[in-house]
Order: sequence, then C-alpha cells, then structure tokens
Amino acid sequence: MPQRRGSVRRPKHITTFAVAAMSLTVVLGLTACAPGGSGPAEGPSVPVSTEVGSEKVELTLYDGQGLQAIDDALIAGFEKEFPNITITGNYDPDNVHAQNLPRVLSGDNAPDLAQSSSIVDEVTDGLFLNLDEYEKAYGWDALGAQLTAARVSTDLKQGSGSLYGVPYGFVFSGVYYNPKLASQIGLTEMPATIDEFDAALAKAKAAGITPIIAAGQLGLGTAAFQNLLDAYAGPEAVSDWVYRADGATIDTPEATKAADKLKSWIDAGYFNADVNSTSQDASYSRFANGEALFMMQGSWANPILAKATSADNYGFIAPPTDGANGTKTAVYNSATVGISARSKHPNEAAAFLNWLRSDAARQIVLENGNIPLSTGTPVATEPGTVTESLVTVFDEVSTDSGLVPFVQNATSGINNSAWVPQTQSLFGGQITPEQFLANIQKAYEDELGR
Amino acid sequence: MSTVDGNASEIAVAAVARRVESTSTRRPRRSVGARRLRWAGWLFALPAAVMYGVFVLAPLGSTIQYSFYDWNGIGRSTFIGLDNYVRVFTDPDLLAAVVHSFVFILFFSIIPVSGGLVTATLIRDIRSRALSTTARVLLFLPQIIPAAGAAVAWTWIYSNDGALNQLLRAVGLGAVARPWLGDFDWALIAVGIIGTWLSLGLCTVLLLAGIGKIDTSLYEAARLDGAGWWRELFSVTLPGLRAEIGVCVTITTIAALASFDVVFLATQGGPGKSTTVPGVEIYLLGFTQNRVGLASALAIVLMLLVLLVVGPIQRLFRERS
Repeated sequence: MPQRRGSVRRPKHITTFAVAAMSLTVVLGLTACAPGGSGPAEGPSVPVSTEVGSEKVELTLYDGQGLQAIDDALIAGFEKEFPNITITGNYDPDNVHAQNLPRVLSGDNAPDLAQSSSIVDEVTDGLFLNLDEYEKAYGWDALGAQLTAARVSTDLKQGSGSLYGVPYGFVFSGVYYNPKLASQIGLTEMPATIDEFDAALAKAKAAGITPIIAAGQLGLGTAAFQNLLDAYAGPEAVSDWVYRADGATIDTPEATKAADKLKSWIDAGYFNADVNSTSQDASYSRFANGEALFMMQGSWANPILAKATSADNYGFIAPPTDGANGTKTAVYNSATVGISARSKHPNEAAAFLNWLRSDAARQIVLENGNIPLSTGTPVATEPGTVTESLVTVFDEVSTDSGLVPFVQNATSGINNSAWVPQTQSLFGGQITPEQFLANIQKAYEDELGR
Repeated sequence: MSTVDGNASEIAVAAVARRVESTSTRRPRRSVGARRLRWAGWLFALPAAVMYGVFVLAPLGSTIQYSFYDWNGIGRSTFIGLDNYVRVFTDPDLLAAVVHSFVFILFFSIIPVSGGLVTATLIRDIRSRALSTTARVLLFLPQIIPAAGAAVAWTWIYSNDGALNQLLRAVGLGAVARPWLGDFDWALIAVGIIGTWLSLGLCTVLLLAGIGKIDTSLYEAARLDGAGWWRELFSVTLPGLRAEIGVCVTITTIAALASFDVVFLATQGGPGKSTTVPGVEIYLLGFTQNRVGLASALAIVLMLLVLLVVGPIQRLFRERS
C-alpha cells in the first residue's frame, strides 16, 4: 500500500513541478518587455568617406544561392581593384535567404552587405543603413529611376525618399516562345498586342500544342495575370499598389478585365492541364523539350534554358500590350544590395556599391544572366542571342517607362497568403475572377493592417 | 541438530518480526530521510530538468507570450490580447487546416492501424520463416525512408505522366487519370494515402511484436474450441494487443494532427488551401509572412488540440490492472 501511494504521488509531483515551472516561465516572459526592437536606422556611425585607404578590411555579403555566381564574380572583380578589401560571400537557398534575411541582419554576426528584394521591410526594422550621404558623395543620383525601388520614404513607403541600397542589376519577366512550334502553326511574326497573342494561342490549341506552360504549384500563374494587369491598368497604377500607396486597390475595372481575360484563357484550355501541380523546374524542362509554344518567365530562366536546349529552340519577347499604342510593360525586380546598419565598415561597403556602376561589374552582371545597370555606356552582347533580345526588350520597356515591380512583392507574406492559393483556385475553377480580386485585396489590406 | 535447526529458524523468524516491528516504529523518522532522499533524486534529475527547462519550457513560455502580440519577429510589437486566438477560430483558412488534420487521422491512424492489425495477423500465420521475414522487411521499409524523400517520390507517382496515371491508362481507365496533387477534390486524399503508406509499416511491426508476446496456448485453446480466424482475432489477438494498439493510435494520431513534412513537400498546402494543415500554416505564417504572433497562437491551439485528442485515447487504451 505505501509503495502504491508513492507511485501515484510521484507523477503528481512532477506535474506540479512542471506546471509551476511553466507558469514561472510564462510570468517571467510576460512581465519582461515586449518582444522586438527599434524603428528605421540612422546614417552610418563613422564619418562618410569615399576614401577606403589601404588598411586591410574584411567584409561579408549575404545572398541567395541563385545569385551566388554573380556575387562571386563581382567580389573577385572588386577585390582585384581594391586589394586591401576582402569580401566573403555567404549563401542560402533563395527562399531561405528571403526568409532569413531579417534574422541574419539582426544577429550579432550581421553581414556588412546583403541583397534584398523587399527592402522596405528591412528599413522598417532598422536593419539597413540610410545611404543618402553616400549618394551625395558618390553622385549615385545619376542612376535616376533605376534607384526607385531602393528608396523608402519616412512614412515607410517604397519608391521614393531616402536611398537604402544600390541595385547591381535587374531581373525582369516576359514571354519565351518556341520558334519551331511557332513556324509549325504559321506564326511568322511574334504577337505584340493582346489580340494578336489571343489569336496565336487559339492557333496553337487548334494544332494540339499546349499554348502556355505555367508552373502553378508555386502560384506562377500570377505571371500571366500580371502581364495582363500591367497592360490594361498601366504601370503606374500597379506600381502604386505594390508600393502600398494609401488607398491602393487591385479590385478595379481594369484588373477585372485582366482577370476575365485570364479566366477565358484558362477555360479555353490554353494552359497545361496539370498547371496546379507543375513545379517551376518541370515547366523549364518541359518548355525546353518543346511541349509548349509560350512560357511567361523571367530573365533568370535564360541561363537554365540555354543549358537545357540549343539557342535556336527558344526566343524572348515583351509581354503583349493593350492595343498597338499600349505601353510596353514588363514585371521587374532589382537585386538591391544594402549595407547592414550594424556594419563596422560602411565606407568600404559603400565602395563596393559604387563599383557596381563600373563597366567591369556590368559586364559580369550581364554574363551571369541579369540585366546590368544602365549608365549610358552600352554593354557588349553577342548578336543574335537570347541575351541580346533580353537587353533589347529591357531597354524598350524602360524607355517606355513600363517597368512594374512584382505584385507578389507587395508584402512579404502576400505571395503565400494570397497569390499562390488564389491563382490556383482561379486555375482550378474554384472561384470567379471577381472573387479572385476581392480575395487578393482582402489579404493585402489584412497584411498591411488597413 | 533438529533443535539447532529449529532454533535457527526461530531466530530467523524473530529477526524478521523485529525488522518489521522496527520499520513500523521508526516510520516517522524514516520519512524525513525519505524527503531528503527525494531531494537527492531531484539533484540527479537536475541536469535533465535544466535542459528540459531551457529547451522545452522556455520556448513554450515564449510561444505563449508571442501569441498575445502582433509581431513580425524583428521590429516593434503590439500587445493585442486574445486577437490572435480569435483569428485562429474565425479565419476560414486556418479552420480548414484544422479540419484537414482531422481528415488525416483517418489516413495516418485509423487505416494504418486496422490495416496493420490484419497484416500482422496474416504474417503471424505465414509458416515459412523466410517469407514472413521478407514481408516484415518490405512493410517496414517505408519507415526507414525519410518522410521528405517519400513525399518527393510520391509527387512523381502522382504527376500527370507518373506511375499511377500510366497504370490507369494501361488498364483503360485513362478518363480517371489526373494530376492528383493539383486536383482540388483529390489532393487531400492523395496526400493522405502517402501518410497511410508511411505509417502502415510501423503499425504492422509494432503489432507483430505484440502478437509474439501473446501466449500461444490461448490460440491453441481457441482453436480446440472451434474458433475460426475472425473469432481468434476478436477474442485472442485484439485483447492481447490492447497496449500496442494504444501506442500505434497515439503515435499516428499525433503524426496526423501535427503533420508537416509530407504536406509541405507534396503540395505546400495547395492547390488553393485544399491540403493545408496547421503545421504548414504555422510555418508559412511564422517564416514567410512574418506573423510570429498569429503563428504562435496557432501553435498553442494545435498543442492543446493534440492533448485534447490524445488524452482520451490514452485513457481508452490504458491497461486494466
């Protein structure tokens, strides 16, 4: 009997202990100050200078693996010109990099330089240095509109205000086509307007060719929607939405027109039948194998397609415009490098940013499949290559002021919370175009706390 | 001699009696010693308790704390009371995730446990040793493949030109073929079947071990009494496996409710939100949408949900003594 009582009692003690410890932890936690820290960071802690001297300085750079080849080449080029500065690159898979960036930048071993595609979040959290003084010292304002995405205003809106980074290049999205399938269906000239594009899709479908292959598993049906949206609504309205302008909405008649058009393509069977379970890698290889006439993808796909198939098996055009006089648009993103607010060597880090404008750096960027900064001096491209088409299309679109940031970058979470599930639902016929836009707008306002 | 013997046993009995007596008289004093002993026991448990406190209780405490804040994980945070919990219980996407995890109990737990029971009984009946070992190894194989690897392999099987659709087309059922993981109606079931495949082996092996412990004379007696296969299963095997079935159901139910890896790798919760589960939502909210507070609230709700479901299961399968 005593033994039995003992064995009953002991677990009770353990529970009591656990409960006590747990409540203690909770109480301690709740009474401690609220989690999290500060707002936007001030300028650099050391005097701003364009002189880097000859003292040995070690910097670190943090980026996604997708840009590792470019970064490594840029670092090597920079170190050749500035032998006293060494830069060590640290890389994570792209999605891990995007998620970890704020955590890495707020850690004790924060890198001096980091690439970010959502600088407004880093700025809000005080992780990136304000570069206004360096802009003045180096004359970066000559880069003009190319710095738009790297600016954040005092009310924390992207697209204007103080400078927080310098892009070393751009990626942008357009339409890849398969010239062999095009000539097979008698398409001698590539479509430039949405109507021409429509006709080409119908011809391909009639010939038993998949008109467009899209990787819906990751919600990349969004690319088709945004190309239509940019054409109908115009680059400015869409940019405002992405840059979180006050009262911005995507639930507009123009957007509805775009969603209706996309829906008509889906209903006509213009996309691969398994769009919702097709991964991005699969879409690349299936397009390279000649399965589809078009693929709406970015400049980053060029090096991958170049390896998967021969150069005469694919080409690149700008997304279709709304009528012959419509603005040429393209969805773009800049690979913007910022300086950590915790960097001990902001002057040397700024020297790296400034070097990105050099011809040597721009050539490296181009050779690695990105579109380099435009400084007035052209970069050398091999004539007749897809790379040349990419540079030409980018020039055309930027002269037409048609560059639009990715709608998926409006907030850090909106791609997963809205674009992926909502495009999948639209492609799967679960929701109407009106519901599609309303749901996206609801998620947008929810994420922004409006 | 005999007297000496008798004396000796008498002495022994007396000694025992004295010892018993002394135990009872010394009892109060001993309990002080016992208390000291108990503290000594805690001292031994201290290293483990510290680890438990630092790595289990402290994070749990922080999670509870975060769940009352609107916080992106880095910047300023705002105390918002129970708003995150209200959201967990009113957001249709998050509620759907909870419902999906209950659907998974069918695929991760009920089907594998009943299937494992039948399979284990059948394997027990196999006379050939080599054959039964082969069957055991084959069934246990999915258990040693990481769930992540299995999920990737299954995405190929389920793809448009994958093994399953090829098979369907080969037998003239091409009309049924579809991209299973991209289909709004079938994706949840397709992911569930991956879970069934993963846990069937574990249940079979656990139950086989249990069957091995059942006294064979019980089976003999049952057979002599004219019991058939089913009668044997219900009257001998099932009662004998009570504890093992309890373990199987507990482990697999937790796996269903707290599932993450299989779903994340197979569908990321898509298409739409048709296969999302709390585990995936917690990850997406916390790490890609930077809503640490809401993710923490969902995590706490998930933990309570698991306790709520597993508690009664434990009671149900507790061995009657």
